[in-house]
Amino acid sequence: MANLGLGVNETEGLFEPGIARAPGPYLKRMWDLRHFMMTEARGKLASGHSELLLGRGWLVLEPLLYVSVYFVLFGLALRTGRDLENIDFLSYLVVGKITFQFLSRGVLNSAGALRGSPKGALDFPRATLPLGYVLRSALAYRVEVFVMFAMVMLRGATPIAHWLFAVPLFLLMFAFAFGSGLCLSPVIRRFPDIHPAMSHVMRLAFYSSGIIFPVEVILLDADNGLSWLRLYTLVNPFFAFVKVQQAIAFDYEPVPLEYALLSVVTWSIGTFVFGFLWFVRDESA
Amino acid sequence: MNINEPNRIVPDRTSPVALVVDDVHVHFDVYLAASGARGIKSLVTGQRTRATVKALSGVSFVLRQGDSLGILGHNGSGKSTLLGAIAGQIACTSGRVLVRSQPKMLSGASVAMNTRLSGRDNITLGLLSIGMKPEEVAAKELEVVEYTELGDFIDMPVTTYSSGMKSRLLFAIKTHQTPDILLLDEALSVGDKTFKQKSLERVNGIRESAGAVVMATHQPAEIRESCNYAMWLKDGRVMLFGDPEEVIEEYESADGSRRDTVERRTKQHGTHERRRNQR
Repeated sequence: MANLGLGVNETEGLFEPGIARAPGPYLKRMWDLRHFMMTEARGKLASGHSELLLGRGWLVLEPLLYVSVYFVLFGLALRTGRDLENIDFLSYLVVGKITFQFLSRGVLNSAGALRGSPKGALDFPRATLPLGYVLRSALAYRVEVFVMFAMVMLRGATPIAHWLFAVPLFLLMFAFAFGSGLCLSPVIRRFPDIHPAMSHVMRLAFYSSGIIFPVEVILLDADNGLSWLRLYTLVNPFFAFVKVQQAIAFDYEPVPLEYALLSVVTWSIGTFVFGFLWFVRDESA
Repeated sequence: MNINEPNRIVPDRTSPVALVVDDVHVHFDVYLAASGARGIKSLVTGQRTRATVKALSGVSFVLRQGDSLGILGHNGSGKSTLLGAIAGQIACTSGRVLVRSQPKMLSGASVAMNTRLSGRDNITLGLLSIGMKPEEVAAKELEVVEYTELGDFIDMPVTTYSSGMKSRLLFAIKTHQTPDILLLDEALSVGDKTFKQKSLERVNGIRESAGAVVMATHQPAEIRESCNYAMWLKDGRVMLFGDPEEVIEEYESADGSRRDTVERRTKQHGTHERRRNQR
């Protein structure tokens, strides 16, 4: 230390400014900001509809509209659901689309959370940025999930106790979306061009996760052997999440439930734990 | 007088040390944009012309609780970089910064607000963001709302505000957090005359409540009014540190010679251009 004319113990209790560099204190700083993050997510979600005449009604209208469009195109015109035996295609679509919508919105937005953000530490934990996007997506999903079960009921299903499994599944989905954001956002800060490309990867995931047509019927056919497409479907986290949700909503099990559960648990815990450690390390560097 | 005589800048006082800036250097690597054939070549080879900008070169000082330092300097002299380094937002290339508590930056330029939300919502968020509990926020919020003098506008979205109103709101949010170490970046040169006066009083209030203040400005008057130290920064180096009156006097008398510096720089720049064209 340069001679600053300081006494012997005068720098005691002083620390370097910036953000905590260890996972534990980092998590605590985030926890201290929980009220802030919830209020902000609520405010941002509300302000997104503030100048619209129907206001928050759009939270209900939006899922109804996008499901309607897919239903007209794929359900009525192309009849992509004809391979589904004894399963109502509209229920299949609505559950798949709403589940996927939460995941893809959470993953895409949180992955781009650090775009344009300067390098170096801020005076708050930067992981709150991707988390803010996932929270907002979750608040919208809270409404969408009611639309989802209402539609399933309208199509003749009676409410059953294991619909409650949608809650733990939601927690896993949240961990997966946030974890993906934590993994991807530091990479996208360095190579922002990945972000616009990612929305196309998401589209690929959308068409191949058994939402608008039952990809499982074709790909999981035993005659096809272990092809690349089959392997991809087995690994695809979106496919697994959608199939678990469909199993919860209307007892549809095209793949063994144990397999789908193993996949969603591994994906959510894996991305979250790895993402968090990697994000904190990257921010401290 | 020189910064390298540190005993001069740390008077023999007993109040605890709030901030130590110890021989801080900050260098930035910048990539120069190449155009034409060279630009295409660089796309292919991936080679870019790199230059190092020395934003800060060996800045040292110590502030104790209750101190208020005003940094004088022209644009590009390193004022904002220094504040960023103190806040921990910009990493030091060498040297280090030590603080008693996390400094809070109040910047006049960047607006960290949700402009689609109302002023009141932004106040709530600002207070929550420093870890206040929702119950505490409810009590504190009224105080901040009154301080802004925004009247009915407080419940309108921030998009409807004038820039002066915006900075008033931002100032109120940031300074009601009463951080131990407050960093001000050109923040006082906003608002009308009465609010300016009010904000000066506020800065003095924070200073008195045992915190330390570091403010960057081009306006000596602000420093004269609220600082007990001043620093003159030029090209990332400390020209002078000490009593505000003394530093301001030196700074202002050197201002006349500024034109020469600008001319010299333009000349250097011209040479650089020519050299590039020759290649």
